[in-house]
Amino acid sequence: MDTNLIFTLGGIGLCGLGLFGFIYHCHLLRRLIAFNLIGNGTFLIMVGFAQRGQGVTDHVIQALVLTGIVVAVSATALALVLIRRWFHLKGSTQLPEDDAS
Amino acid sequence: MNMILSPIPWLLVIPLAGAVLTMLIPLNWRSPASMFGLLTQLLASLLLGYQVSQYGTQIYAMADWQAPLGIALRADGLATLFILMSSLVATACALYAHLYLNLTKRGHFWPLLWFLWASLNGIWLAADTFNLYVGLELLTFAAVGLVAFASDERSLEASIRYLYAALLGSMAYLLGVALLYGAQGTLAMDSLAETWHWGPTNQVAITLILGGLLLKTAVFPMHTWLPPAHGGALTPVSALLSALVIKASFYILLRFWVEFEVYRHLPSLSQLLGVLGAGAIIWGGWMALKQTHLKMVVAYSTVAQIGYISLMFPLLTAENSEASLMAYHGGILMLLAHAFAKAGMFLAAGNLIYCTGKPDLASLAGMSRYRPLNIFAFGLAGVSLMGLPPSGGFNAKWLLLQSSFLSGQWWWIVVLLIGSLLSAAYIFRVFAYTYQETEATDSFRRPPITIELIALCLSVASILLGFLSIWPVNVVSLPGPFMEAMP
Amino acid sequence: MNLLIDLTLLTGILAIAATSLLSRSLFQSVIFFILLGLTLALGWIRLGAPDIALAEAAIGAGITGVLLLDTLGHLKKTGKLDKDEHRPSYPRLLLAILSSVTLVVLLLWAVFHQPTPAIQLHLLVEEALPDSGVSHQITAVLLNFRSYDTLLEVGVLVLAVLVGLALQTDQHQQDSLPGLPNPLLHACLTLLVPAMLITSMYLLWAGSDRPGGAFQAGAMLAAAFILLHLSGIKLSAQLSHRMMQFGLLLGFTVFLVVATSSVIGGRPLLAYPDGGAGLLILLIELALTLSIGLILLSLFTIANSPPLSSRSGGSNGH
Repeated sequence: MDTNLIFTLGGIGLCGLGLFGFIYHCHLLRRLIAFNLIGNGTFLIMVGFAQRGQGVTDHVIQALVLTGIVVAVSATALALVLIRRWFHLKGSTQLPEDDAS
Repeated sequence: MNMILSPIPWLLVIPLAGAVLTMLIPLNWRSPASMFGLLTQLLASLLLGYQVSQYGTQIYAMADWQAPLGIALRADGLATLFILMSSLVATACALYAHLYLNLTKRGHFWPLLWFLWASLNGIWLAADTFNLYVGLELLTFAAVGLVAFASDERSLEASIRYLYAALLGSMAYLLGVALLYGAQGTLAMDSLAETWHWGPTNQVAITLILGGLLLKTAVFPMHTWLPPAHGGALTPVSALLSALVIKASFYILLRFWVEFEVYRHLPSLSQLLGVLGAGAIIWGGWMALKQTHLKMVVAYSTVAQIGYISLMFPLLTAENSEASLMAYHGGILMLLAHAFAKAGMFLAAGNLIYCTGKPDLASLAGMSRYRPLNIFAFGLAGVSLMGLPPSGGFNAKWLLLQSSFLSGQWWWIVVLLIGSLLSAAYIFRVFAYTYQETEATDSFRRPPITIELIALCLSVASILLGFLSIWPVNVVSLPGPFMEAMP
Repeated sequence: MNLLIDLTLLTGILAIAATSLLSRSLFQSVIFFILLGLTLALGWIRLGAPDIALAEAAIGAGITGVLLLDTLGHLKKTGKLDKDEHRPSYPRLLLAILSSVTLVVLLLWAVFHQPTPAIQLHLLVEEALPDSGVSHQITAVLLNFRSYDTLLEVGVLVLAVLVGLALQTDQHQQDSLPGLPNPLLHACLTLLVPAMLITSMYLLWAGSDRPGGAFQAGAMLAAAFILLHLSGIKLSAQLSHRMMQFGLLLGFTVFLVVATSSVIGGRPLLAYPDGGAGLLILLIELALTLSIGLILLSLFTIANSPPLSSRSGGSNGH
């Protein structure tokens, strides 16, 4: 068991937990946290899995993860702007349940 | 090829610069500056069309680093057709928005549109899996912003739903890309295709990528986010979303499907996609028939039309290359016809709602007598969506029918026929409302003739496509890595 | 020994994540989420990725955490924080468990059948590094080999602010937070903020040959800005709206201008002229750092200010 494999497994765990939370929760903030868990898990898998294959430190994939982290924080901020506005208009922190469709 | 004369960098730089510029300059200058941008985009797209048809597929090494170290852009026939399509449709929608929105809204619309356009061009030209991820995120943010800036309750709810679905979709895609990189050590599409081998890692990666992209394309049963977003946005935005934005994730799906020869190795997935498409055709058509709001009818019709386009997947089989080629041409033609027809239909629907001041179908009574031009535009687009001759939609359906027949998959013929009946039903239902006679006087508002004409132009284009089908079919068949990987 | 550290971190990460996901109190969830970011930073160091560790701590845990906490505070003020949570339905639970288990099984299957990659990209990176203008591989990838991705990524950041601004019509509304009138805090700030600015500049400078770079430096800068903002010194009020906009767009604009100038000079988009790469990369990074700092600050303040409710609806304006 090397470090890369261990953290790849950690990433898989995070993705599993995150996906569970993303589907299970209704609260928009909780779903956003769950999304960030999936994101962090994906980043761990990206680096751990790539470095496990290459056998060395892989700077390309690390650079991609940096990009990914910045995109994820932008997504979180955008979601928060929408959530706050939604809260302001409706006073609710979740979306109405799907009735039609 | 001379680097300066290549339109490829300008197709990206001009929209990005347009986005920055329209954020900085005063509100009333934003439209004139954007008009100039529209013109340059049209010219650049035409120039690319000319170059690709003359000299074949163009590879452009970004920052002068060859793939797989750097990022390559690739303009083949398929990419070129999509660039031309998005330039034409986006220009029409942009002109419409300029006339339709007030000064403040317009001011916010332009930078978002330019970002949207940059990401679309970026996706059409991309030949790198991670670059596609960044492009998809840029597209998602621009599209969500465009939905949200209608800033009423409905559009806000729709934009949150849309954002969450899209974020999950891109994360699944990224996870797939991570697995591919771990297995093969590269992100470039070409070198992935060269070193591809169908181990478990690649199979899981493809499953994740397809899942994410299907969610982003709103393929049944993952379509629930689409109708509120497309039906609840401002009219020119609805047209852009239905005509272009969902096509981006579909386009990536198609590229993966063919270039990595997924059809050859996972034929069961092909059938699954076909079943989902059939579900979309029937469910989308049925729901469109039940809607009470005009734009929701059009939005559910998009769900159904995505189903038709997905039918090309089970027909792309390794066994029958003739049927596959027909399915490919039919699917692309269907997508193209839908882009024009649906943009035209949404804009015409927006005009009708403008006239009545109410979004529901019942208030359309008397409309065909007083606003025949809009009804005509709506109807022409409807002809193409139903697949009646002569129209782009008809030719596309005909090719798909023939392909089903040739490859012996008759069950898709049944689906196509049921779908056509359903689309005829929901379109004629709208007509039935407009023919109801109520008042003797014309009490409706009158939209400017220019925005009526823009809607009409798009609808006419979807009909004209029926006569000019051979041209796009030739363009997408130009040789390149994509066509080499076709069955 | 190392194995023990790794396994401890793994257990810690999963336990913290699970707590953050399932905790009854939303506040606790957010705190555990921040804790997760810090623990992950340790993991990144174990993975030989100090650059990501810095970014994770500053952006993943820091900025995301502040944004979440601030939203939480906003919800808390209205007292509806945990009240209107419906219990999720049974089918939803089933779907969640099913998809999550499927995903985990698929990923495990994929990971344990990993083939040996045919292409070794790191060899290409090593080979091209002398021509890249910088000696740190990650900076070379981000700002030279794959600079196009980075350009679009900065576009994503700008776009997030743009959407926020489009949703907030009133530019001059009063801020919701009055600022904290705490003399101790102010005393700390006079020490802390200069230190943060210096750290930020160091991170930027270090990026050319060691871990660091525009994104980490920008995040540090943003943290300093946000601290100042919370203590009542509002940068957005000090600068005019126009100045702020220029600041937000500066990095993206400089990047775009450099990219375009190479096309006009007859090179492919984003290709630096011979010998000029190092300088141009530094220029871009400097502009990016400032802009990223301001963008992250704006994302914080936009989320912070209440939008006007009395607005014209979604109809058009004829």
